[in-house]
Amino acid sequence: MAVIKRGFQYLTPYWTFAVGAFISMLLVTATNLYVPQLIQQLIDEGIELENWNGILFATGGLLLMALIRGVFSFTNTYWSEKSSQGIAFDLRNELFIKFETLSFSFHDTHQTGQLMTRTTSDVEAVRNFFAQGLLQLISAIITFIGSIAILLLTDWRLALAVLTTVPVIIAIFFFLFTRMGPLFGKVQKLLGQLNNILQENIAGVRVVKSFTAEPFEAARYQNQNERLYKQNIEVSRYFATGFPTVFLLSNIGTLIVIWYGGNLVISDQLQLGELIAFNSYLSYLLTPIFTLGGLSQQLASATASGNRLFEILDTEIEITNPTNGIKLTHHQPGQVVFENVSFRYQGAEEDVLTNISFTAEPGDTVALIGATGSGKSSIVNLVPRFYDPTAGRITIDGHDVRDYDLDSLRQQVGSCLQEVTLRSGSIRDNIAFGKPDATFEQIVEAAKTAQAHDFIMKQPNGYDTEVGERGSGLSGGQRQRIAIARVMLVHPRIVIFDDSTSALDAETELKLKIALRPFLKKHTSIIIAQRISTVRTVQQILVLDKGRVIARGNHEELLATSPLYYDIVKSQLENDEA
Amino acid sequence: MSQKEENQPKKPKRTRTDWDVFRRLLSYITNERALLSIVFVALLMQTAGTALGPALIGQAVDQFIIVDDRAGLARTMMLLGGTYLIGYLGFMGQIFFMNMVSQRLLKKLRGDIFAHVQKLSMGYFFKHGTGDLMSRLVNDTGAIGTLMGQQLIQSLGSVFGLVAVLIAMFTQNVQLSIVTILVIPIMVILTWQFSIRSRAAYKESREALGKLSADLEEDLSTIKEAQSFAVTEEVINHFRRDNAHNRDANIRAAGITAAFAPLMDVLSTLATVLVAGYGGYLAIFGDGTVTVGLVVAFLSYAQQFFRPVQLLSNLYTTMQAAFAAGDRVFDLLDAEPDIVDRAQAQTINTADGYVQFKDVVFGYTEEKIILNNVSLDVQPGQMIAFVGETGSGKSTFVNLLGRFYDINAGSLTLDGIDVRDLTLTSLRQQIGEVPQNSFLFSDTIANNLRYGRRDATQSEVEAAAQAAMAHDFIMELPDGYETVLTSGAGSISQGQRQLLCIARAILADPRILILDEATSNIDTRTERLVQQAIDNLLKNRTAFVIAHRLSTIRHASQIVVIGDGGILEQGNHEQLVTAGGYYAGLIKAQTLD
Repeated sequence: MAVIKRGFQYLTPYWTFAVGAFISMLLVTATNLYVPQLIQQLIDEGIELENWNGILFATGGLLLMALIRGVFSFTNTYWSEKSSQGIAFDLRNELFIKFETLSFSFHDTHQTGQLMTRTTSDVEAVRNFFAQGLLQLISAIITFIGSIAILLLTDWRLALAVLTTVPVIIAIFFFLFTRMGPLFGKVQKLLGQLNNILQENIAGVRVVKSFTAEPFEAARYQNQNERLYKQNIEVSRYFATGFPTVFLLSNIGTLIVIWYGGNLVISDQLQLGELIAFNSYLSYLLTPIFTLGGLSQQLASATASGNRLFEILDTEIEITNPTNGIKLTHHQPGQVVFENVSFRYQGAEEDVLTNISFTAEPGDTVALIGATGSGKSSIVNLVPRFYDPTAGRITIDGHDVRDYDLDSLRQQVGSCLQEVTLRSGSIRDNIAFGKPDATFEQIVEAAKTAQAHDFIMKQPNGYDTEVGERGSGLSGGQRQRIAIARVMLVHPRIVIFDDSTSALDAETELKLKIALRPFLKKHTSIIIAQRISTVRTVQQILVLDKGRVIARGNHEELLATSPLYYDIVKSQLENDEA
Repeated sequence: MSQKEENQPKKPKRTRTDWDVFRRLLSYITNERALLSIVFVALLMQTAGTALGPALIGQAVDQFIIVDDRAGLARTMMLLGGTYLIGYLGFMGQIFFMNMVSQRLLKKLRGDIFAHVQKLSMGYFFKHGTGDLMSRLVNDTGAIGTLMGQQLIQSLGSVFGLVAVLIAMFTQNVQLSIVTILVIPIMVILTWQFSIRSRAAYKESREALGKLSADLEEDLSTIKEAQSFAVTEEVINHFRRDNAHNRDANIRAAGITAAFAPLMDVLSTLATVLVAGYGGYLAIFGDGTVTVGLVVAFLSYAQQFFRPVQLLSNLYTTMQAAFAAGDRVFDLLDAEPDIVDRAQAQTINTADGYVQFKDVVFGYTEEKIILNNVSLDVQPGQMIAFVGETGSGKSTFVNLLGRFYDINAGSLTLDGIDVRDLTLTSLRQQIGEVPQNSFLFSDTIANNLRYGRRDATQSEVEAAAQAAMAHDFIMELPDGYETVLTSGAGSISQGQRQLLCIARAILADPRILILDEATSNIDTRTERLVQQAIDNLLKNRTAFVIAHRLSTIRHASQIVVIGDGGILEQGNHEQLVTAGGYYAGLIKAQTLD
């Protein structure tokens, strides 16, 4: 319930529409309740008494009611849509901004698919509740209570006779909805599993075909398909017994009214018109019960979605921008110093980095080498503050990185990543990602440095070639070069290469290294590499093992002093000669 | 399919009318004749129940309550009870059996599509993407299910109801009946007009939502990039615009639907008013054929009449969606696989592994020829390594060998037999593959390893894992061989995935092996394991290696450098280094700086 209460806060900017929709709804309900009265008058005072004026009066009233109801049911629907779309709009924006500002540690543990679901389905579930659910809920309650009151007022004996069916109907609904929820859940789960088989089958089509596993796959799918079918039939058994029974009960109500009421009319204790009107109110009694049954589902899903949304909105952002942060500019030297830095991922039991210290002087390159999990990427992620260290500090030109304005820090620390996700749009747009106002000449220059120009020119539309979703159509090596061009274009003070040439062939890598040389001479850089050939010429190589620097020096020094480094070199040579 | 057509480009997209789609969808449920006839009877019972009710009530009011006949009232009420009971049984049967029909339809449709997808050639998957195919199987069958299930039966019920009410009305009083249905033409015109407008509005809102989700997906998957370039502000502003556009499109669409329902409501009230007015007039001033009871009955007919009319007017949208979905599904079902067994195709049991490419011409598309008159001889047990830039066609040779694509000209033989004269299954059973992306299924490790040989015993599985250097790490996992792998990244590392793929290939024990080297970053120690595993795998087999690293291939029998539509260089390591061409350059670049 706290969730719903919090949801209401989002309604405040749109309170005029919400109140308008609410009043419209009240008026629609009122006219609905008044209509059987008019029909009763029509019969009792018009047709039965053969009173023409009575007929005219009642029919005129009916038409007027329909017009009023028409106008207000329009405003009701339209205004609730307006306010609920407003809520959804605000919620989505708020979520999106949150996602964009949450630190890497959040994104490490949350998949894109999950975040998509939050922003689309969950927001929609909350919106639906505010668009229809809430008003329907109020309207159903008012209609239900109103109908009972009118029934009792019209004839209490009839009313009591009829109301005996209501608890039974409610009980059936209760039974149905408590049973159906889990059953539907099971159907959804089976459907999910079925789709998963499909998804893997398509994604791994090559493997399926090359192992000639088509019959096996078809059998597996068919098997799951059959299970889903059986579960669906199970669900429809409940449907098929539940709803008709409720209708039968309401029909029995009608039967009681006409039979018992008819006898009352015969013994002159009830007017005929009253009987007819009574029968009409009976149908009003049933609709709200149906609605409430459906709404309990909607409310449950809105609450669940709301909980998930607010959980994200309440997540604390770990990396925040300092107030009055120092602007890091391109004109500074860009000296990077790690002072006894230790780091541990959130929720982890062990440090991934312990007591790391080194200095990267302007114009120098520091290379990090070590096995997977030795902490290389963790080190470079601390410089642009994707994470903050748990102990120690990192300084740029003498100031703690946490004292710099976050945007200016990240603008001056460029990272070329190993795994590159390109966005849809042209190659040109992708290179200009970090600097949307770059001129075409600047883009071409960056691409040339990154050894991307030649293959870009070979694409059908050159720089204007559209790259598909996730940069498909380009190979891993081509994507990596675009990522490097992107960083070159921003021209940062400090550059990080996180194994960003792993998919390049040796020849291209060499060309790239030569092209980058002038740039690297003037800037600070940190390079992570798997291949010895990449780091051989670097003056300061740090050998990492289990989060510690276990050796440092240049290639020759390390060959002499570090057994691990020697091992790595040896194994790579062995591989080359194997 | 005749052999001649095999290499023909795909036929242009056929255009089906809505009616074609509907008829073909119907053909799926006409298989269920027995069930459908039960549904039909049940529906008749249900309709009878709903239609007879008001008539009996009218009769009760008219003939018994007004003339104070208690016994007659009792008789009618018993009858009414019986009617309700029949309606109840009909309603139950209708829901249950119709659901059965539509679930069967869905099951069959899904099964058909899946089975068909298994037959389609690689070219189709290359052209359409995972997302497109998924959407056809998931969303499109869903949309069809909605129409062919309750929607269809409700509409049919509505039509029955309409007919029943019409019959009841016209048999009792023609004049009043005509008055009741007077508003129908106006309703039809209005529905038609609205559906045009709302379709346009909904199309706009669907497109707005589509754009929003597409952009959102991309934004969310590139958050780290956006943060690292400090451009989150721009990304947020862009999203805000998409979001606002989506909101406004939805509000516009809602405005149109919000107006539709009240208008219909006013019109159906108008019908009630006309019945009451005209009926009342006839009852007062008429010749006595129109009684009060009759007017009361007509009032309730009018209400019953317009409920199905409104239901039917809603049907149109669902139908449109289902027909569009049906069209896409049938496109897929009608797509012919390009690569099928020839009529006299023979089975090959155990190949020697002698592969010959002779004057082969091939391109994935007509416009771009990748291999132009290329010849290559591979003796059994040889290891061939392909080297070249991305996109040069390194993978093309192996794609052709497994007949994932067919050559355009020339010949390609295995043990001297044209690969197109072999059955696809027996051909591919000769070939095992270690894919570049190390693809594994979300299943247990044991089942993944058995993928190429389902009947392998546990000890055979373990022997293969041992040969692939995977046994040790598997045993360290909590559930050992029964550990369930999750898709994507997760419990085991990329290098370990690669070891499992190698083990899978070893267990399948193919005569010819295709190894597409992984480019992903594996640390040196795991790489050493992988190297040993590969050595074990390559023993005694004809092997094709698509090399991204040069370390694997020094000892290849032949190294083939691909580029510019053909073979640039060919020979073993020493020969190529001595020749001083492209390969020699690569070796130099990697070892020296």
